[in-house]
Amino acid sequence: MSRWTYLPPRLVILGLISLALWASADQISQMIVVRSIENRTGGKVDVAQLRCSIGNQKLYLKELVLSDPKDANRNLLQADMAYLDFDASALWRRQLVITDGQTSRLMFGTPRSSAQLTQPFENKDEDSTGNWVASATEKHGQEWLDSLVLPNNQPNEIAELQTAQANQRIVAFWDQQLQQMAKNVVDIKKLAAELNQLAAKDQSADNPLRRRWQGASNSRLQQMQTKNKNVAGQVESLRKQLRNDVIAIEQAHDADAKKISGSMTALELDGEQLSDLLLEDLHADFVNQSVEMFQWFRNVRPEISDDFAPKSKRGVDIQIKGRFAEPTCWVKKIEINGEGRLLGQHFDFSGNAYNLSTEPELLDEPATFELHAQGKQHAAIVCKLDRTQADPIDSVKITFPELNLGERTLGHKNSMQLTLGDSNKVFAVVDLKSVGEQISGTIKLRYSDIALHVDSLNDFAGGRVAALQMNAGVTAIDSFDSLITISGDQNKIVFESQSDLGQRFATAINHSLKRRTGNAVQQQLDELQTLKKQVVGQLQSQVEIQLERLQQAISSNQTRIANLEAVTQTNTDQELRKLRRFE
Amino acid sequence: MDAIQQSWTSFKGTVRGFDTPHQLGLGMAFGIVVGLIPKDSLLPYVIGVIAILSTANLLSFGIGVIVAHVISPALDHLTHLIGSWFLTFSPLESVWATLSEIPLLGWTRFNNSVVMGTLILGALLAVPTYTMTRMVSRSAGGRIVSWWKRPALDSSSTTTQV
Repeated sequence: MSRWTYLPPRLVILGLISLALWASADQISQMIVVRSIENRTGGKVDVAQLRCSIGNQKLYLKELVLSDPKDANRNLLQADMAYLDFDASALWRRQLVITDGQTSRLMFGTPRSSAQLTQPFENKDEDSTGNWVASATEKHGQEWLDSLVLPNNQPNEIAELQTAQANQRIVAFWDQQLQQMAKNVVDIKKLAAELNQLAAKDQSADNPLRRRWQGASNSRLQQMQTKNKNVAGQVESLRKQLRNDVIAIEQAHDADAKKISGSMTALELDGEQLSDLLLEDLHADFVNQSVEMFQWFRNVRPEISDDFAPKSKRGVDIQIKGRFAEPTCWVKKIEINGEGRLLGQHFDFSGNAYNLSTEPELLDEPATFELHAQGKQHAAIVCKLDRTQADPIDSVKITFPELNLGERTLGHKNSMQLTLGDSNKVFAVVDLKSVGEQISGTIKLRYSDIALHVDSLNDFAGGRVAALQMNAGVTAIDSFDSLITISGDQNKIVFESQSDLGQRFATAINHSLKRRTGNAVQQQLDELQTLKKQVVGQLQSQVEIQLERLQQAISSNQTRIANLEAVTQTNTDQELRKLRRFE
Repeated sequence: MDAIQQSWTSFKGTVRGFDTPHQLGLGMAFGIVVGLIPKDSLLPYVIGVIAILSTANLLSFGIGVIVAHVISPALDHLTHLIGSWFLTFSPLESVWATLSEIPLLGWTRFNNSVVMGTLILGALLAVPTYTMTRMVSRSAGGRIVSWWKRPALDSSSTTTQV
């Protein structure tokens, strides 16, 4: 037997092995790929078909399903098909570099089908969202009620006002005075009659008794003049009293007007508190769903250290000094086309993912998803998952150009509850970032085509009547803006929100309520004015006339007295001249 | 025709273990090395091809692979220590760096502590394995071959006598 006779059968064996390997290259590739992924992730991998062409640098996968290593009832991802272009030169370095690729019907977090299930399926609510923050609407409602400046809507009784009381007093006084004046008029008239008699006596010439009556008439005239002057003085005093009374009525009226204006006030609403009360629930929902979405994106690229449960790996790969570390698997770009759920709604999404790797810390660029989601709602999503730093930095920016919230209830039934009509549109920009465990970010919301209706209002704040009045005011609100600031960590998320809804609502409502209250106040003021005019007019018409008549009578008497005094003086002078002639 | 006849005879010998103690020892030594090294490395397959192309007895090679493959995980702690020490041994760092630049060598996963450890342990065990297998086959080979070649008729005839 020659030296090399053993070789041909062994070459035949090797040839047969090679032939078998070549014939089952796809199955072996599939087995290698499946085993590699399973070993790395700990999840179960199902691939219906795998074709690999190293010459064309193409890999085709059909019906790829990767189960969640931590939830046997759930798939981490699944795709109907994946066409991948890989870099063959990288294979020499034991690297899988996908330069470009496409996936169709990529889905994350789907329940495993009964055929895939290794354990009985436990139905979990797919729509449930994480409760990251709790709503405090009821608390805000109570705070709002506590801080309310309550309206005073008790109308004033006109009879109890100062004006009415002053009127009563003054009218009573002048009634008395008018009676007195009437008496004085009678006295003055009697006086006038007596003076007329004296004047008649004076006309009868050569009256032998002239001297005698002249002596008596002088003293009588003095008395009459004194009385006339007294009445004239009283008239002057009454005129002054009348002016003072008119002033007193004016002052009482002014004081009453002030009291009426102050006693009927409208409900004063504080904008900031209203925003908290009305939007707390809605904003809490936005925060919960946004953080949920953020977490969803963070989980889309599984965290190798947390989400995978690799099968026990033998040994440790030691980094060779002087050699640049490269990731084992690196997807530079892949076109994603699939389905998912956001905000509890089904979405078809398409877009690109960049820099996906099993060792993202070895890459210079973060893993990036640029997606457009289309469904009942539209959304543009940019998500970056950066593992190039010591602390993982994740960010997501989601823009909803026209989000419809449907009909929503705002506020709380125990304080104030509004209905937001279903025609609303919201332009929303969710911008969240996490560094390590810390999450921060903002949610900007611009509401338009708003239709608000006040459904209920606490009796303390005016109840149904005030609610009806408010509904007249809220129609003026057709848009408002909100800004939610989020901070916290995985365990506790807090948010602050600012919105001009409360201010707009308060402005509209306060204006409406003030107008209504103003009308009521004006009505009372008008009544008061009428009362004042009535009293003053009455005084001026009755008292002034009476005083004028009295004044005229006094003046007439005064003239008569002056004439009689003049006659008496003339007669006395004549008598004196006669006496001097006789002497 | 002679060559084919000789190849067939060799093939039967290869499979049935009628080779020389040297070939049996060589097969067992290769088997131990291949069996120890984790199979997600290219090394066991390369060494396996070398073993097939050598004069090593394939039966003893197969036995060696199976035995070593079974006990290999139990030796991971030891092989990890050996491999780690070698891979981080400063004077050899430049060697590893040079090797890592060679295309396809990455598939051997030589930078894995257990792969390197099992390779070294396998290499160390190869010589005593070869020697021991050779000794055993020399001393007990005849009896083993007799037992292997015993006629199947014996048992049936015994049964008949009973």
